[in-house]
Amino acid sequence: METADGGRRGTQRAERRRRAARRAPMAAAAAGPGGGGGGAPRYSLLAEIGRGAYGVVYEAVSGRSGARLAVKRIRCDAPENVELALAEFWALTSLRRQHPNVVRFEECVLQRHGLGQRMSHGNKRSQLYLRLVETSLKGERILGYAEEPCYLWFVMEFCEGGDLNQYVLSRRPDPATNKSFMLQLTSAIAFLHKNHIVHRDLKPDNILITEKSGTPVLKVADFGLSKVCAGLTARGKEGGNNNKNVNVNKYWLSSACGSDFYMAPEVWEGHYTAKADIFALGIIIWAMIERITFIDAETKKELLGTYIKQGTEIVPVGEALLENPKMELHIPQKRRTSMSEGIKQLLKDMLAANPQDRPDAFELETRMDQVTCAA
Amino acid sequence: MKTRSTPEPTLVLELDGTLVCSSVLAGRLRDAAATFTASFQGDAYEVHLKLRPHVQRFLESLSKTYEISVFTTAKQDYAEKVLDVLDPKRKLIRHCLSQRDCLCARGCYWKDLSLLSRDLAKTVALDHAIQGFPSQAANWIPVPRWWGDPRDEELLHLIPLLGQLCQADDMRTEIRRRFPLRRLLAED
Repeated sequence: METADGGRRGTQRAERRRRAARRAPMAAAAAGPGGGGGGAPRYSLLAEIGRGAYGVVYEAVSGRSGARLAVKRIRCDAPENVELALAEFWALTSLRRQHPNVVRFEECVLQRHGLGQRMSHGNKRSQLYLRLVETSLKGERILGYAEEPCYLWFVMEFCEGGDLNQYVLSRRPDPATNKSFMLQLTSAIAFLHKNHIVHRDLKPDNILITEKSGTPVLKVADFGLSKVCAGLTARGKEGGNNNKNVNVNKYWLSSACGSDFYMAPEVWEGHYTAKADIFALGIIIWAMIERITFIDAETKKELLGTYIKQGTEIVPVGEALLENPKMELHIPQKRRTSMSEGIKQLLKDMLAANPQDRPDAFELETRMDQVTCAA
Repeated sequence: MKTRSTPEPTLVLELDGTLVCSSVLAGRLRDAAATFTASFQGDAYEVHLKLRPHVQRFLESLSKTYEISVFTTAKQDYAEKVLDVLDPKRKLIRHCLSQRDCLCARGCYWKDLSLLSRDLAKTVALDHAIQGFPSQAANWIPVPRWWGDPRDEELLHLIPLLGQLCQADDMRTEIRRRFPLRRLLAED
């Protein structure tokens, strides 16, 4: 376990994603969105479960069904926050079908003056929604919003098991669980990429766990930095799948984001495709199998993640590969780790410096099946 | 090309609130000068654009003495479409820097004039908000934000003032002298 030089490496965007440790329950009286009508609130907030500069996540109870839910509240005043919130909304709503390993999205509520309205992405009839679009387009602060900001609330499935860091690090190593997690994560990413969504911020903090069914089920969450790779025409026909030929592996995205340790070399340069998700997954799986961790300098949290040692410093693998694309990765890193040749090779391929040398999510599914069966 | 001995003064302009105003809200802007579509997250939005009174005269007159650049917090695609209306032949405005050229901190976009690689002693920037140029406030002339009033004469008044300003050795000294109080008032 090493300590990350988080001050230098922490990116602005990454900073806002960090899920803080659990805190004491908040006053249950805090009214959720949609509770302005005088009747029973749509959601009652129970406790704060995470916080960043970008938003706060609460555990909540549905007023109708009594179901436990996670509600993420994003303050929409600063333009970048608005755009990130709308991008997350877009990603969540473009997942029309569900996947067992992707956190289930219930609804989005736009709230101002204590009143909430259920929102659909791209709703041109809502004045409030259009103002948010305008804020993003112009990059301006919305006037008057400082006093009475509006909020976007994302209502999602609640995962009681915490995140992948907490789960893995609080238990003894278990090869069977590791294999199951590798398959689940691969399946989630393949599903996202099939739906033209590049997550862009895959890391153990954003992988949640639920054990409601008895066995641990992973849920990929936090689509705040994700990108929907559909052309303008893709939304034209409702329900029509006319964007089948969109290949996310060839869809170049710009602007660097994501947490440093999981960032592929090309992400450091700001241009990348869905293959960056494959790289991040490679780092996560490698760290999970070998339990390689570092301490985040800012939060002092122990996080799963592999890195390269350069003198007394630790450097993210992606950054090191950017400097030296021919660098040989030592997988496994620890002598005691037993790892099959198939997994070694797969991890090396996932972490290839050149994104074209990495398997895409569909190839990954096949190979992951093979190596987990064989091992 | 400018020569080393006579550096051309640079005029940096924001779009929304300074030269134009626009809205994606239908009916918000009556008598729009132009309407175009801007794409955002897979959807197309109709933008209604209005030009600030005297903006054409302002640009035409000052482009003779200044190298004019637009530096906006807006998205590139949106800015280009506004420029298509303001300067369709691309004769008045030489460069356009946009949101992707801004610094982003605390969720807001900030402009750094040094990105233009021009002599800051010979650079003046117009914007309605100081937040535009945190590190170069000395180069900033606040302009009251325009919301669509057809009687507005701000740009007209700025033409002679900017004409005089470009003769100063260091424009920043001159701006400080001329706007000692406006700076405090213009924050919105």
